[in-house]
Amino acid sequence: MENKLEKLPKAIRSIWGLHAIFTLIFFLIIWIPAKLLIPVTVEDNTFSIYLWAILAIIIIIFVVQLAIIPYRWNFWTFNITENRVELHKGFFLRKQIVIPIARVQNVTMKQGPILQMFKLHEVSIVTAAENHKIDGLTGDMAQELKDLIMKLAKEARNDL
Amino acid sequence: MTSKQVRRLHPISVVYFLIKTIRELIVPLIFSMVGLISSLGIQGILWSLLAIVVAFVLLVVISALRYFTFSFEIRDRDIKVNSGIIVKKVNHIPYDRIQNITVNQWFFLKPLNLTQLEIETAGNDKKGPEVTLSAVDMSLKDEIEAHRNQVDELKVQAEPTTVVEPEKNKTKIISEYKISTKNLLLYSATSTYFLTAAVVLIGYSARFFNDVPEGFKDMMYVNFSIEHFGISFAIGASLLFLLLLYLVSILLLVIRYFNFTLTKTPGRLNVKYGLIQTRTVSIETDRIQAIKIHQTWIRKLLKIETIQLVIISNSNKKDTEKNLTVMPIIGTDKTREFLAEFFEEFPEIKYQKNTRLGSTIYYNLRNALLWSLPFIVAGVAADVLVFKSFYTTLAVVIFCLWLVIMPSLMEALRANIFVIDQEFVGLKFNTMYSQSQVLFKIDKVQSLVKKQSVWLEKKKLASVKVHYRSGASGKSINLGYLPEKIINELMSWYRAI
Repeated sequence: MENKLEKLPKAIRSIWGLHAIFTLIFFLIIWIPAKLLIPVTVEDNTFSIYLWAILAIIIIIFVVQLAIIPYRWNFWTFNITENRVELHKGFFLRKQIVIPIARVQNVTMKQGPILQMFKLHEVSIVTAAENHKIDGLTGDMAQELKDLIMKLAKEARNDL
Repeated sequence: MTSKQVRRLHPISVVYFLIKTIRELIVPLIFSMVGLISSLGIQGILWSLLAIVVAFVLLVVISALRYFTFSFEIRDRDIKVNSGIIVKKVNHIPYDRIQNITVNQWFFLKPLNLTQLEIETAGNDKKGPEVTLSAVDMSLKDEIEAHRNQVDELKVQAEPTTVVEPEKNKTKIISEYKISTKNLLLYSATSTYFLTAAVVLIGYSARFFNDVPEGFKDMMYVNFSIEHFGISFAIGASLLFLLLLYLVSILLLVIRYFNFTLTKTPGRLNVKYGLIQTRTVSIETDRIQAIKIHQTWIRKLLKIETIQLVIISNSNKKDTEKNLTVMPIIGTDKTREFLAEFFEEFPEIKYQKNTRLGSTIYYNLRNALLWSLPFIVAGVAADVLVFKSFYTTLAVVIFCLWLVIMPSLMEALRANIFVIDQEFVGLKFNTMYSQSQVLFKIDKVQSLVKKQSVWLEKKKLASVKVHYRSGASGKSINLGYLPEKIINELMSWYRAI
């Protein structure tokens, strides 16, 4: 894993898909009652146009989120070298995160119910200021990453 | 040295506990009293008096209990603190985990040679036990320091490869700065503290307004209404009120920062200030995360600035300022000299010319307008459909200008990064009310995030977020829409660690 550009496990794409579906359901839960319950008023026409426009936006967002997933997966990479951990994520809004190994305090893992279903772990690289997250890694990858980083961190501290 | 002896705080700490509990309870107490009185009338007054007496007795009893159940031992390797009336707590604080000891001395403790000690601990994994010894003999601090030095020396001896330089005199003052009366007044007079106080007070009085009994309100209305006296009176009265607040705040600030003294001792910086409550804070130089040079707009006009230190601590107390002010007021021409004297590790800052890009301003402004748009649209809709006026729109526009558009413009005008040398970088940025410059040593920047949208890639613009530690949590500085070249320079500087 050292000095190699790694990608996330493919299963993460299904999880992103699920997130998109949940977002859709969430907005629909708000929209549907709004459509059914708003009484007929004089400005009925304009109001229902607004509602349909909002529905169109919700659906477009959903479709775009799904379409982006392969690109997102392709662009999510990380790289661990002797001196630092680098994370690259995002397709439309690209982020490049640089964390020197000497600044890493700890590597922690977390698993919500969805991640549990896919047997993935969310890995957090803990620094004194901020926790940088890797969306999902298999148990083996996560453990390998943690061991590697902690080993490099120990060496970095011994060099000081 | 009877280091195994179990000790108690000085009995005067009962008073301290009492004051502390009263301060926590006084506002809810006042509110409930006012509530009782307005709803029950005379009966309410009697009930509330009874409640006060009962509460007071309870407080005294609890404070006494807290005093009796609090004890501590200064042992060889650590300090052990026992506390708790019902739930017993035992805290062990090894000397090498002590980050900082703050000395707080109220004026009435001075003649008794007592003081309050706040012991802050290190450690990123746990929040860390934080111990306050409310009233102890002043010599205790030296005793604890002696133990700390002993432990440090033992550690150094344990590593055979390091050369031990006997640092006999740890209290030797290398440099000292004492604030002059003129500067103290200047600092207090240019502070915007009274404005925030005014806003808070207005907020409080608006809440109180409902609880004031009807008769009183009517009397006020009849005698003091605007119709009666005219709008000029209202304006005059408000100005007078603000002036009063301003003068009071000057007084409070002068008292708080009275005799501000900064001293540099080996490996430490010490700040001491205060008239009624003398506060001494000692910071180890390796806990300094960054130097922040800060100017509110008024101070910029007068060509003065404030220098603060961003420090790492585990203190969750509100009192501990997250940024430690080491120089309340200094002329901008003297800053370089000051930094060279007290912070010799930091290199001389050479200012580069600001490469102000039109695109930076454009994008920041564009974003601000986009964020404001939904609010403005909502405001216009409300005006046209509901209120049939233009006041809502006006209010929303002012609101957006003040909170979103202006700050965004300010940020765009100044955001800049300048790499000073291999180890140091400076960041410049604005907020709505001030202008700042933060100097970081490379090993205190915890991580860097470069952000760039697909569309900005072609325009060669990017943003960067600098993560650092301040107090007990992480903070970040966000500089947006800067030329990609500058950001890449920063990233390669950082990667060279």
